[in-house]
Amino acid sequence: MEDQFLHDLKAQPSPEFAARLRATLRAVPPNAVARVAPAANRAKWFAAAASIAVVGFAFTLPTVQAAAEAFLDLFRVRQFTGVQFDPQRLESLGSSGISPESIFGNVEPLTDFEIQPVSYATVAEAGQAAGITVRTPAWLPNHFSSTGITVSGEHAARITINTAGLQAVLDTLGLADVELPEGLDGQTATVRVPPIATQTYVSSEAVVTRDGSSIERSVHIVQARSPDVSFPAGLDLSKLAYAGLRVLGMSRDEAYRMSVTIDWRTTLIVPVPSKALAYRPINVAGNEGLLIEGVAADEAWPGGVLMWSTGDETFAVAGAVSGEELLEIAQNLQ
Amino acid sequence: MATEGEVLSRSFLGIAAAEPNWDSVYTEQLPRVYNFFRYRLGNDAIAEDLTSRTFEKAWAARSRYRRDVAGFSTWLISIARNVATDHLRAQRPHLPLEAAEDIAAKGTPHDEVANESDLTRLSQLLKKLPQREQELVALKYGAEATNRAIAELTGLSESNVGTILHRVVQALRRDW
Repeated sequence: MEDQFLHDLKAQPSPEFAARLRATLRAVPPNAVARVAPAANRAKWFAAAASIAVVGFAFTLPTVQAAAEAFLDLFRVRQFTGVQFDPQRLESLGSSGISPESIFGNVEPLTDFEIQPVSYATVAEAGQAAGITVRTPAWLPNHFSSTGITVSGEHAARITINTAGLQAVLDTLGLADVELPEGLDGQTATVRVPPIATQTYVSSEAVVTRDGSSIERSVHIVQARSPDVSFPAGLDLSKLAYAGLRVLGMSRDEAYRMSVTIDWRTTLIVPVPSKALAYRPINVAGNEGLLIEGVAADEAWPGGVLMWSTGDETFAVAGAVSGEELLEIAQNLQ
Repeated sequence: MATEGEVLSRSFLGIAAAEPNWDSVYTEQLPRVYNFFRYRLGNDAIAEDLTSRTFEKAWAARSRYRRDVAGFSTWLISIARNVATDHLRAQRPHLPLEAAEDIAAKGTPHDEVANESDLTRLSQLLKKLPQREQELVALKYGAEATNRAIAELTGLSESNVGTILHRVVQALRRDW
């Protein structure tokens, strides 16, 4: 047979490798694997992906969320790390009488958070308004076309930290092992989020769900200069990070390991709701990004958000398409 | 009209029924995925790494597998293809050198070295071909996919797959 030489090149995986991989798969924790989305989430998964992007980037900040997002943004964004958490864990704080606005202290908006994003006729005009060169996709999934580009204004806020609010959270969650950094109370941090350009692409083919309703599939490409955050010198970021990771539900060992190994001045933690299907680091044109793929078990289409940073700019591509398609879009921005 | 609860139940049952036996899947599919990467990239260490990524990804996304859309092997190989594409995008300029260094540094038994050398030789010959042809060889001879399965994966017609592979094999045979 003339192709026998091609068959003969096959090899068996080594038993050590096979055993190692099997052990790795068995060790995957239950909360890191796929789940069936509840019906209530049907057709909402882009909203979930978008909310992840909002949390991650502090984009389009509503006043109430500004505190949490600004606090998470006490770092210059150069890379991203996902941390899974159960939203119900944080929602339970509300039932304990803890107001989200008071967790971190006083938030003083330095810009008008009510101003809506402005639409621009061309990418060049939008780029000029945002102070960046907007990159457009050379590749999109079939049937997707542009519906416009908007730019939000610069947002800024000053946070004066009140450790009493943080301690109340720790007490409510029973986190006796967490010690807040000394001298934190009364410290201020200033968060500046530069203008954000958002391109929207919509599919001409609507998706019909099981119940007969129609869903519009869209993809958003978000680009901005990286948020710039100033905070007091000497702040023990690893100790603060440990507290944040424990609040999100991470184990003591894992939170400690992460808190002392991550560069908190360049790494943005992205809380990933446990309903998300999976998240992983991913290479985007030589830059390490974070891909979060959403639950779509009862949907006709999957979805996710891919975020990465290059140079002084931060990007996100989010929408009701597969992770592979998100990556393809990201790799083909020009 | 079905109530939402009924629809959910059916959905759940459908997903449960589509769940493969993972132990069997692992045993059957590991060599196919591993050899797909060996043929695609010509490097054992990279093949192990990408095989791990493929299985981890498949395991994490297993609820998205739909038996009515594709056979399990086809689904798994489609994930492997994407993993390979990601890898090639990131590593393409360095692959030939890495492959050569890896084999040179191994000091494996003679028969393994011979096999590795043949693999390296095949890899070098394949690199002269377009990416599509390289991938077809990896799917056919590494992953042991049928022409029909390859057609499903690549969007080519089954006869086109056969024609391309025949041409590629003849060319490889000539240069071997």
